Amino acid sequence: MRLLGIDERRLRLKWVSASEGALFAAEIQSYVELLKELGDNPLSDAHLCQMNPMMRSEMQKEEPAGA
Amino acid sequence: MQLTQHQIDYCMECGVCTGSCPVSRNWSEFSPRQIIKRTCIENPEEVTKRRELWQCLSCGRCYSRCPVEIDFPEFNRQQRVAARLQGNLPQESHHGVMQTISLLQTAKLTQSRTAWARDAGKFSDKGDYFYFVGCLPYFEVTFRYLNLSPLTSAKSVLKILNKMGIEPVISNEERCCGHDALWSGDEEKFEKLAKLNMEVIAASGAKTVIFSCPEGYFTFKNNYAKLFGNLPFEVVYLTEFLAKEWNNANFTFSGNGSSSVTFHDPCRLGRLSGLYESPRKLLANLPETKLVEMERSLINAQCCGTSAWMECSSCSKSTQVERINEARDTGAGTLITACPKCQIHLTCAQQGTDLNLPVKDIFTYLAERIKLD
Ligand code: SF4
Ligand code: SF4
Repeated sequence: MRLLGIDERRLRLKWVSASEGALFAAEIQSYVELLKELGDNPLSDAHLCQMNPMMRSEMQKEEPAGA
Repeated sequence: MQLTQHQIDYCMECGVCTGSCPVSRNWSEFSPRQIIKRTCIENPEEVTKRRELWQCLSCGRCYSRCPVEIDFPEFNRQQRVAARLQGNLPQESHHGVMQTISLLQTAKLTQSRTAWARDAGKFSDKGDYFYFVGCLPYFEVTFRYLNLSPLTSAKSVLKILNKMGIEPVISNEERCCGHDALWSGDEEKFEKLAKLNMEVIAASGAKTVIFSCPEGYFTFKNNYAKLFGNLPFEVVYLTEFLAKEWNNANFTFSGNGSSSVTFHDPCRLGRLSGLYESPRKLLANLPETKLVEMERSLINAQCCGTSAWMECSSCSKSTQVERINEARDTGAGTLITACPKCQIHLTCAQQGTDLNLPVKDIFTYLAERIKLD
């Protein structure tokens, strides 16, 4: 990710047990805040390119903006 | 590639292609002759459903020997474009990591891929020469498990160029050349990458683009030229460049003990670009280095067994082991190649076997012998 110039904070791995609901919520909240702060996904214009063409045409039907 | 009537009439007879093919040698059911025959007589939809069209290595051996000049690899590549549209996809090696890396490079992002060059030498943002580094920074992290350092090759290139007084452009914006996408039938991805590369090179003002990877060189020379027309810069392979500039460079050398080497011609450089002489000339220029040829070299050289990071198989492995044994039979202490992928494949094949022949890229070998300070 570093080589590709993608902010490494976009990838987060955390172990949360089923009994730690509050921790889970806090983690997701802070992650969402961070992602908002980091702005648009720099890969959003790349991701449809290599997909299986049949899957891609399905997705384009559902998401005309290609988001 | 549309076959001419002459080609169609003449073909289906001789089978030289199948007899020359390293894949057919291992898998008798794979036959370029029969693929051509089927394409001519069967419903094209049926042909592109078959898995076998992913097994060709595009090594060009069949093409180089075909009496009616049927360019089977190009013919097959076009079948792959159609196959992909039908959802017939290749088996990607290394869990598709290289395909993903090149896919991510189609996005508008600034990579951080030049860190290695800061320690190795001098380079710039603009100038007459652009060094197209290719995938080496990504190979460096992906192939650590082979104890290989593909970036050593890039560092060697930079040091040699600096020694010649050249500070090439090296860019964080450079993308994968798109070779593998193209040969996997993904023309859309190839074109996206190619456009981005053309922009980067234009912005650098370079008049000459230097390659140390035969795939990038071949792809620019042929496929970029097809896509964009005459390229506004010269495309050169580094061995050619060095061979031409050798006498002006006034290199001095340091000796080394074991100096018998053999040279493996990468398909994209040899058979498909016709560059056989310059790497041999460079090795011959090194005092104390003795080049011994393998039984199959030059136009008859054997492919390194895998292409475009897909369909690595028992056929790949036996092709590679066969090649290593051929190199060992020359008595050479080192196998030299001029392609980072050949180096990776021929090293990988020796893992877990009692084979132990060092495989080196030619630029690292040169940089070890030329006095650089
Ligand atoms: S070598 Fe050429 S002419 Fe002969 S079978 Fe193969 S494609 Fe046909
Ligand atoms: S290009 Fe190479 S691998 Fe493909 S069919 Fe021809 S000889 Fe076989």
